[in-house]
Amino acid sequence: MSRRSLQTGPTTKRHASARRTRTRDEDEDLLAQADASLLELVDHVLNRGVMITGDLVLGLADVDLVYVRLSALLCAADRVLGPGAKR
Amino acid sequence: MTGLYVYALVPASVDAPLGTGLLEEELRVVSLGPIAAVVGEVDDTPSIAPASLRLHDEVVRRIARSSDAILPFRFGATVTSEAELAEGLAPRVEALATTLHRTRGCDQMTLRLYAEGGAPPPTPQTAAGPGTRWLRQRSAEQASSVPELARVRAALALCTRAESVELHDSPPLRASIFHLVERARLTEYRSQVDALAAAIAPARVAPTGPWPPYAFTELE
Amino acid sequence: MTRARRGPQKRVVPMKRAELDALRTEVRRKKGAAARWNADPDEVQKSVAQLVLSLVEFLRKLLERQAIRRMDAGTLTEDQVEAIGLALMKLEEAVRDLATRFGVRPEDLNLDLGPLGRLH
Repeated sequence: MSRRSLQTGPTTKRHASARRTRTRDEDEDLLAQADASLLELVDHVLNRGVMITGDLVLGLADVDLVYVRLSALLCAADRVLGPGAKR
Repeated sequence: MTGLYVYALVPASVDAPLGTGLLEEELRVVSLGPIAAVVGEVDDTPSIAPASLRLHDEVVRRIARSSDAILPFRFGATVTSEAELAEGLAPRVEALATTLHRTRGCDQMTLRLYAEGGAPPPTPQTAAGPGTRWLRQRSAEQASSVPELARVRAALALCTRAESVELHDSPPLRASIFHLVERARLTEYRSQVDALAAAIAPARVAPTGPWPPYAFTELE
Repeated sequence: MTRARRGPQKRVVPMKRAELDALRTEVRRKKGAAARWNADPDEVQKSVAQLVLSLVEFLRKLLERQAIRRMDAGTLTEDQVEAIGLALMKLEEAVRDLATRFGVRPEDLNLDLGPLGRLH
């Protein structure tokens, strides 16, 4: 079996994780031409699955500095305090 | 510069070897306590292209064949070291272990619900104030004029272990329903979906799968 | 015991054009949910506005969801429903106006609610 060749990009050294920033345009091309099967694949493999980085990555000067997991910060008030509690 | 590409989380007791990854690199297992991460050494982060996405999914499926439970990673997760991986996941290891355990013996089925919209729900004409009318309108929109949704969920409730529903605002696509289904019950699930076709027509449900549990990597 | 098959099993039912386009729109929308923020040194105010408004809009959507849940469950009084409804209306308008003022597009305020956004 021949060695697989994948499109790869240079590992970005400035990021804490070796993650290449995707450009909007490449993503658009991918989706514009996608058939149902590819759309399903994208929706599963690119929109879901475990992420180390969480919901939001904050950075400065193109360096990722903080990962924010929004759901970890929140909880419904009536579930914590009980429905009878004031406020 | 070498990095580690992360494919999935599995129970710590997983049987190695797990085969090879996207670039035919040997997969290895990094212990994180009760769970473990399956990684492969890569020189470069793969960029997004249909071939790479398919390979990622293929590798995840291959790992799934050797493990009773699995939490697939999103495409493109690379770290510079095992330490970075451990640090990144440390705060969530317990929650991830619970989530992982929920997937044991299961695959994911995905349903897309296509239906023509009913008329938009009428604005409640009561003597209520503007704030109340606004909130009731929003509530009606959320519950949505998608009666087929309740029908589909009810029909499949008995053969699914978990469910996640997303409403959509792009007619005719009204909702996506993700189900965690025990592998032994997949045939039953599929027959139920087939049986639904007549019941909900002209709306229709388009199933895909089985998938590894991409949509069940977070507890709700 | 059946294991996950290689490759997704496709159902052989032709997909209508409208369905395909709708799926494309939704997949695109979810993919576009703002995941990474970096201050643009040339437009710092706009970057800050985008981050702040994204977070406010995220919280607003969450508050709206909670309010509806409690209204439907009957754990809010009529006065509370009215007051909360008005507050959410005004908040939504305020976010929209501020976004326009800073040149931030509505789609740039789209932080995925994730598991919090699921229907229960």
